Parts: sequence; C-alpha cells; structure tokens
Amino acid sequence: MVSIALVAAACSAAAFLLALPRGQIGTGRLIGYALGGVALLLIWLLLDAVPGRAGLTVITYLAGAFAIVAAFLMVTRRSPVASALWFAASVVSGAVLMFAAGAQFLGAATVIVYAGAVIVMFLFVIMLAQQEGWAPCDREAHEAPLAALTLLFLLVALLGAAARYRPAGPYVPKPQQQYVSSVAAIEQKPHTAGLGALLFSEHVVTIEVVGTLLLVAMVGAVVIAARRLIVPPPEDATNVG
Amino acid sequence: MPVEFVRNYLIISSVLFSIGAAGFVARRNLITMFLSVELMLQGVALSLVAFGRAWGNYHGEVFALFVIAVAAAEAAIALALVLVLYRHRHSLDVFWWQQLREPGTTPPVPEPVEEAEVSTEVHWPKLPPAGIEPVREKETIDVG
Repeated sequence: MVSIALVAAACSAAAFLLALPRGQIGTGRLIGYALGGVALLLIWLLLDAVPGRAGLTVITYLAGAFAIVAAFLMVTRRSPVASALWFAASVVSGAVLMFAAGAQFLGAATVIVYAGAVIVMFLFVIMLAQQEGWAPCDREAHEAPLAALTLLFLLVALLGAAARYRPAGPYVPKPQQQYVSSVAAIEQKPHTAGLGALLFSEHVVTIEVVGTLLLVAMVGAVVIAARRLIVPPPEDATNVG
Repeated sequence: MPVEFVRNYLIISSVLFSIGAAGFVARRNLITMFLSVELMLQGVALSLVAFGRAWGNYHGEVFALFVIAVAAAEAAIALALVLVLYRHRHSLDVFWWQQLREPGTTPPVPEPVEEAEVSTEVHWPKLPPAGIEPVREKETIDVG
C-alpha cells in the first residue's frame, strides 16, 4: 500500500511538471497527461471497495477520479477561464462525494456556493481584468521543478499517511467524547434536521460569528473594489513576463 | 461507517489538497492562484465530512460548513483585491507585486518568455448549405 502511494506520488509530480505551461505547446504536455493517467490508476489501486455498499463504492471511484482529473486540469490549463470551469467540475464531483457520504446539506451548499456563486464571481473578475491574448503569466509557470517537488513531498506525506490509516475496529466514541448530550436524539432525525439542530443549539455563537464575518467581508469587498483609481498602464508592461 | 469509507475520502481529499498547493506555488496568474487555494479548502472540507460521518455525529459537517463560509468571504475579499491590483498594473502577473520582501534582497527576475504564436486569423464556422441555391435572373448592374 505504502509503496503504491509512493509510486503514485512520483508519477503525479512528474505529470504535473510535464503538463505545466511552459512557453510553446510541446509534446511534453501529452506525456504529462499520460503520466497523470498512470498516477490516477495507482490512486485507484489505493482505494478500497466498501463492503456491502456497491453503489457507494462505484460513486467513490468515479466521482473521486473525476474530481482529481478536473483539479489537475485546472492547475495545468493556461486559460484562466478554462481553469475556473475545471474548478467548477472538480467542486461538483466533490459535492457528489459529499452526497454519497450522506451529507446532503453540505453537498447542496457546495454546489450553490462554490459552483454557483464563487465561480460566477471568478468569471466576472476574469471578464473585468481581461488581458489581451495569452499573457506571459499564463504561458510560463513559476519555478515548475520546485512546485513539482512540493507536490511530491505533500503527496508522499499525505498519501502515505492515508494508505497506512488502519484504525482498529469500528468507530465507537468514548463516553467522555459524547459531549453532545443529544447525539442520540440528533441521530434519530433526518439528516438536515439533525445538522440544523446541532448548528442552532451548540454552535449558535459560531453561526453568529460567521454571519458577521460574511457581512464584514462584503462591506470590505465593496470598499476595496469600488474605489475608482485610474492608473495609466506602465510603458514596459508588455516586455516583462 | 466502515473504515474503507473514511480511507477513500482521505486519499481523494489529500490528492486535491496537494494539487491545490502545488498549483498555488507554480502558477503566476493571480486568479488561478486563488482558484488553487479554493481547491485546497474544498479538499479539506471533503475530509471533514468523512471524519464527521465516521464518528457518527455532525461536528465534522459543521466544521466543513464554516470552511465553506470562510472560503466565500475570502473569495469576495481576494477578488476585490485582484481587481484593485489589476487596475494598478494592467496585468494579472504576480511578479509585479514583489515589494514585500526583506530589505537588501533582490527580487527574483522572471525568465523571459518567447512570444507565442498567437494566430489572429478568424475561423468562421462552416455552415452546411440550407437548401438549393436560388436561381437568380441575370443581373445587370449598370456601373457608371
């Protein structure tokens, strides 16, 4: 398991390095995508079939693979619009995974907030900050070998830890960890009702704080972006990458 | 919830998180960098959901919900900042913003990028003929 994780991490890092945009389009990009496919197969080997839950297994394999592929394409595509759309695809398949895990409210919230609102906001900003053609910052990656090394180390650490993850027996919360007095009562309810009961009983202060945070962020965004500042473009804006 | 269930979700979310982190380091476009950060947050939310289901309570999902809320707030602020930065430089390149460094250090110089062959010719769609070309009578255009 751990050796498969290591090989998968190495394949992913090499694929990332080859598929990153660098100058002209070459054949390295296609080799990178092929290596990424190999890495995806290895990651599939790491996944387990959930006993007795065939539907959950299939959904996990398919939606997980699509989330990973979309994330990879998001990072390696040149056009910011393509990146934003692949991000939406990755988030939607992540929402499918959340639905499969039984978190219906979170799946719906992810689709609405991320794939709806945030992506539309990104597309608006891309439209407002439109650059002519392919800008140099899209055509050339920054320190691609070091970034691939970052990916390698992160994947080795995280995938290695996840592959070795073998808790003994099923999860049984210890008595002192059942700090919610009404866990049993919550479990009886339908999913969203239970989540709401927990949110508005135990986490009600956090809800208020997060609501205030959203309000402050909105006011701050208006204050930051609404300032009219006309700056002429610098003369050397085109010849520096 | 069986163990395999949590493990699968941990593997998928760790791959998403790593790709997001590497993309944040590698890309130079401000918008793509923020998209990578959002991808990292999404991976973390996925693993939080899996942990919550493994424990059989809703605390993981409450965490993930707050992660989504904070990510939305962060996206609003970050995109407003991106717009302001774009108005200053008329470019989305992160290399234009290198003032934040220690005194005495030289900023990294971006490697020159050769000009890409951006084709300017317009490709019009080729439409199939919609019918028989009408037979026109001989036109006589009197020029002059």
